[in-house]
Amino acid sequence: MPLVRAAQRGDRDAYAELYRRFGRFVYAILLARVSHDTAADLAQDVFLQGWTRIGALRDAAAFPSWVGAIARRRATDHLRRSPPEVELEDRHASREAPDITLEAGRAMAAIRALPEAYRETLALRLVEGYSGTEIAALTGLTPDSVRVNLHRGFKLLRERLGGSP
Amino acid sequence: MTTDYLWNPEDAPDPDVEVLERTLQPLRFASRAPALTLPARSPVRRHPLVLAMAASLFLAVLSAGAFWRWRESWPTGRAWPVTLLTGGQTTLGIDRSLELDAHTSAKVDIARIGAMEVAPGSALTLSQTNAARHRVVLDRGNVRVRVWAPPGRFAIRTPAGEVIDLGCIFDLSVDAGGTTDLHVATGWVELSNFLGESLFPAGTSGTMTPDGRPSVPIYDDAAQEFTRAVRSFERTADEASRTALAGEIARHARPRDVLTLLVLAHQTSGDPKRALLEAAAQLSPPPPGLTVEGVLADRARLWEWYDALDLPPVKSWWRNWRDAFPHARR
Repeated sequence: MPLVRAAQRGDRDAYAELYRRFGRFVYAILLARVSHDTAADLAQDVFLQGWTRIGALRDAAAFPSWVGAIARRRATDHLRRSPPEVELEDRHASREAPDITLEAGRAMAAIRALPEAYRETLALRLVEGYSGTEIAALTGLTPDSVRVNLHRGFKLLRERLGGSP
Repeated sequence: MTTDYLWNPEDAPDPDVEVLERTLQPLRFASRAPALTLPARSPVRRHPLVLAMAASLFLAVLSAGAFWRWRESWPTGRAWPVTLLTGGQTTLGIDRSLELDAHTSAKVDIARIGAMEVAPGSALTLSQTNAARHRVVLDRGNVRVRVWAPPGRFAIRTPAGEVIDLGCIFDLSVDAGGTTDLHVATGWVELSNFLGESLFPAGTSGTMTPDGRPSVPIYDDAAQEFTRAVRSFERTADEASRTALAGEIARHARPRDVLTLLVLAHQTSGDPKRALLEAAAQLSPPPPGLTVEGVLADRARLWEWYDALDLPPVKSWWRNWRDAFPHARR
């Protein structure tokens, strides 16, 4: 990936382009674990952290899985240090955010309540619109695993949401 | 549900999935992405460089430690390798002698801590070797010794006494009468026998006979008159002669020769001692709080003066690390 190598040489524009390309991937990983407000902030933290460490990345092609791993660690760290997050729908009810519907908050909370294996795959597919093939390429999972996660996860999600999301 | 749509959003939409997608759409990153503001400077590649340097340093220290342990180790009694410079190799075992004819020289490895170049006509015997102690007897001949090891690890016994390496390079010769001549190139060497001992720093020479105490050290670049007068002083016991020689010594001494004057003064008494100390005080005054009278009253205080001279510490053998290499020559 020429962009990664350029960023390793200190090219800020190249790194900004990586943020544009992989920001939503990192955000979806975070969104599967924390609230949407926090996920957006943490996504920026993840890329700032990546900027200081990208020189240590040996295989430029491994950038997506590398930055994804930083995101998972950052979310874990955030959850360990912070008090339990208020449920999305409660937060929504207490603040002005006209673009966030109550249904969206409830659906996302239901995804976060799924077994861990399904959360991230469903967030990538249903929120950010990645295809199964893209999810496999970005996460390093096999296509079969992604397919299983998508179908089982979606089935479980539909049951939890009462048959109709 | 159309499984293809869940896998591939380009396929025909599945209503259930599509509804959920629309529901979650407000949470998309595109609608919430904050701008990325990078810090002014990136520590790009500094991190791995620091890591690499730290790892290299760690490995270097580890390797140096392992090498040092290996270099110091030596199985008790194992023979030393000998290379005859006319061609051929042999070994020198415990209580075995190496006697060279008038045309053959040899290089003898001192376990792993150094080596000896043995001149033609020399005769030496290995008397002891183990990890902590290596001892050789030199009956006659000339050797150049190069050792880099803690003081006392290596020593040579001659008919005149013992020559103790304190971590250095030195030349030693023993004549048919057992007289032992020493020249020190680096570090320190001690000459010792039943009559006394004397320390020799780099650049000095000395001698030791079977029936006399080791000589005092004299710098090789000292005036010939100075050297002759000092050696004459050491050979005579007559106080009047010594007083006269002390004057001769004082006339030809340089500030650097105060080392010789002090050691010589320590071995004598009376007027000659006073004359030597006064000459030394003029060339290199004693440290504050010490006077010639004070040294005359308390013999032990002379070492305060000696310690104030510009000499390398005896225990700093490790500073001569270059002596560890076979081609070290000074």
